[in-house]
Amino acid sequence: MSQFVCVVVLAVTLLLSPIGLVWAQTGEVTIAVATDPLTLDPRGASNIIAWSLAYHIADPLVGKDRDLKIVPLLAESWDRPDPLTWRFKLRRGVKFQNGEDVTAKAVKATLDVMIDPELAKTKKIQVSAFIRGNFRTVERVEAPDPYTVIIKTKAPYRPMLLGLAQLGIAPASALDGGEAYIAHPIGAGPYKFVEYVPGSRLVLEANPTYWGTKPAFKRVTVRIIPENATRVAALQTGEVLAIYNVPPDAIDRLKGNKDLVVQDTLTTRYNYLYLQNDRPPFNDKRVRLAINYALDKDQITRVIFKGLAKPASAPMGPATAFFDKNLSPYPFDVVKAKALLAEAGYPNGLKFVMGTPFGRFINDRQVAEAVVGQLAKAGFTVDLRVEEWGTSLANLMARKYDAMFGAYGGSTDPDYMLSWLFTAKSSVVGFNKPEVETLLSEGLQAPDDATARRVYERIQKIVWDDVPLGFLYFQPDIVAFNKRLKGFGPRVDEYVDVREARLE
Amino acid sequence: MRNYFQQVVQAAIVLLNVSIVVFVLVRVVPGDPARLMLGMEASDDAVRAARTQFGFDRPLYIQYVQFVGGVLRGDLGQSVRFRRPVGDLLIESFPATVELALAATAIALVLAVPAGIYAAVHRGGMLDRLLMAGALIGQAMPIFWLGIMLITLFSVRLGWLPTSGRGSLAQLIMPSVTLSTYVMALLARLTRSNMLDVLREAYVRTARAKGLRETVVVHKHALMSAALPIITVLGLQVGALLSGAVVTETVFNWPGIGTLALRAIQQRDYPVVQGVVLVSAALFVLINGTVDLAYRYLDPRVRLT
Repeated sequence: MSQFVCVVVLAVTLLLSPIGLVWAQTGEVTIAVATDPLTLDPRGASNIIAWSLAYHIADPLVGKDRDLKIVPLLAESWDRPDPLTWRFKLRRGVKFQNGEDVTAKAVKATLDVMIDPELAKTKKIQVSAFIRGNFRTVERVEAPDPYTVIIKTKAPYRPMLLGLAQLGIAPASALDGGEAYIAHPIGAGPYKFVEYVPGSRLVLEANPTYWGTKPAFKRVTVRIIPENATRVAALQTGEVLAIYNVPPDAIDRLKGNKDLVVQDTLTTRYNYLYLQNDRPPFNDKRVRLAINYALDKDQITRVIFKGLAKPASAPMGPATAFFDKNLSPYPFDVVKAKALLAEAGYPNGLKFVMGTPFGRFINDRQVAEAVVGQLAKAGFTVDLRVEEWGTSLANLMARKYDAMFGAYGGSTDPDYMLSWLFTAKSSVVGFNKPEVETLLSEGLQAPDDATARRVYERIQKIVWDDVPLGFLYFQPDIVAFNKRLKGFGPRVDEYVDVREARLE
Repeated sequence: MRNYFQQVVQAAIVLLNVSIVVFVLVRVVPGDPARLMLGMEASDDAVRAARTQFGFDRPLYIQYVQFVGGVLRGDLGQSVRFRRPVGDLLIESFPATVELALAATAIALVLAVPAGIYAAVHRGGMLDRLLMAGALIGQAMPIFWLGIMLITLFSVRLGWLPTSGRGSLAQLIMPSVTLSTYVMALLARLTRSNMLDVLREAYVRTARAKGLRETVVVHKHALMSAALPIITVLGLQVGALLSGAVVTETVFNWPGIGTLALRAIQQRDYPVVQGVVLVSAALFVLINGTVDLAYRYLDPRVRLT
């Protein structure tokens, strides 16, 4: 009998033991993210999770470190012989994970797919619109010898290196690999793709032949846990060593655990209300200003974000290059808001419809509801429509509502951050200022950083003064992890990054 | 034989209707798979091109004919987001959900039927009231909340069970218990009320009068007839289990068709949504067909008519 009890106890213990073992084994690490990467093909990656995980598998020509400094990866050096030409010298003796050599031919094949939509189509390669956008000015790519790549652009293009840093290079054979490559991406990065189970996990293993600093982990498992409470619990139990997208309401609980660290950073992301600038009532600048004075940014950042968000002071997040530090948030002033509203012809207040997605941005619904309450005090009656993201996005693109709560971010380049909303052709708020568009193209062609800074600060000032949006706050990126994990933390570009992480 | 044929025809009609409903529903809901995939800053041209590539620009009736034609050839189409055959995604996800549903059903049966019998036999007793109050709470409790409470208690506080994921037996415990609660409560209440009805029947009185032991009366004579409606209800609960699986799988990050369906709906991945719904409906029809057959086997009255 007692033997039987022993066996049962032993069996139960064994069954229950996977907890803790996950990271007790040396050289393995498990982390958790909230979003599915969907694809790890560096050419087709369409969200930050996917770009950053693909960045572990496939090295680009150049990389960006935690401070967003461009560093050499597959290209060991580069120059710009004339404003339309970029010339890269490749590192010699580097091999892809399938044994193919990293040559100019592979770089050209990867880039050709970006600049030639027909090629991508015939080869059945899904190209991310975002990544393709980085190469819209490229005219052609040349490979005069196996270790030289020349990129010719139609016009001078300042953010070329940043664009290249977001495109992992695939082997030349991937051009014909089509969907086989999507199922098993190969690159010349520090980690090799092992498996990706949508909605569950991505597994990577160390690439022993990596040309650079050898990866610290034998195996990296990235679990996809969209449910906030479950993700937080997985960190608390030690099943995972780090989690991304920490919900602000879990911060205190996590900080109470002495083994854990919670770190946050502001990113490129900023949150705001889309206002329809070309139709009543928001075609009147006074009404838009009234909205901006009526919004109590401090209250939202303090109460909903536990002080980790900051009131917005520019039309792009502070991690964006050439961010203008000299602008300041519109103060909270209900009296002024009411006066402006009366002056605009709405002495008895104004009623409008506002949409908001829910479950898309951190605390989106809470913020939208707080905004409705704040605006009410200034005389606005807001009819709030809460919708899931698919519907909300469709309504945003159709410009269905007078206003909408939303956010934008993702690239650290100001052109990306500014040109979508503030170019008439693509603006979903009806923004139309030719002056800004001229400046945007000057910024893209800027020969040096000083010129670029002058141009982008000018654009930020014009946009800020014109109040095309109801500016709200800069949203933080919050990461929590075990203290033993070093070389790890939130990045201003929101990248998931274990390239240089290690365990102590 | 004619009966079986009728059943197969009925099943085919049901599935045909399901295919039409799901095909129309996913397209009626606002949202554009191409726009969701490419993002807000993608140009309208790029979005149009993607729509053409997926074939979503073709007239609806052509898309429908292609969908049904594909299904008849065993091809459920290709996922927009994962660029993989829907069939493959389903084959990867279904075993996880079946495992979860079977475990939940097993837990429900093992706990609820004895509880229901006990409550019926000791009707009005303290334990009967407790059990039935428990069943009521179980039926009313949101699965989502229960799941998070279990994680908080058994993973975070006590450290006994892993929070989520699939792989070990330990990871199966909390999700299957969570999913079982609704069915369990229903089964306990149903067993109790059926047993109460049956225990009043004349043949039970006869059995008792014959001097049979009470356990034999209850388990052989009464339970056998009380079991029939329980089996029917269990068959119908497959639907509840599948919908409960969506929530349970989300909370416990269980990689089954529930999480697949949820993601596909969020991304408007039409082929995947269609595939999940159609295959789930087929499963539902199949199980209810099986329940019908089981009925014939268990109930001589049905066999003879």
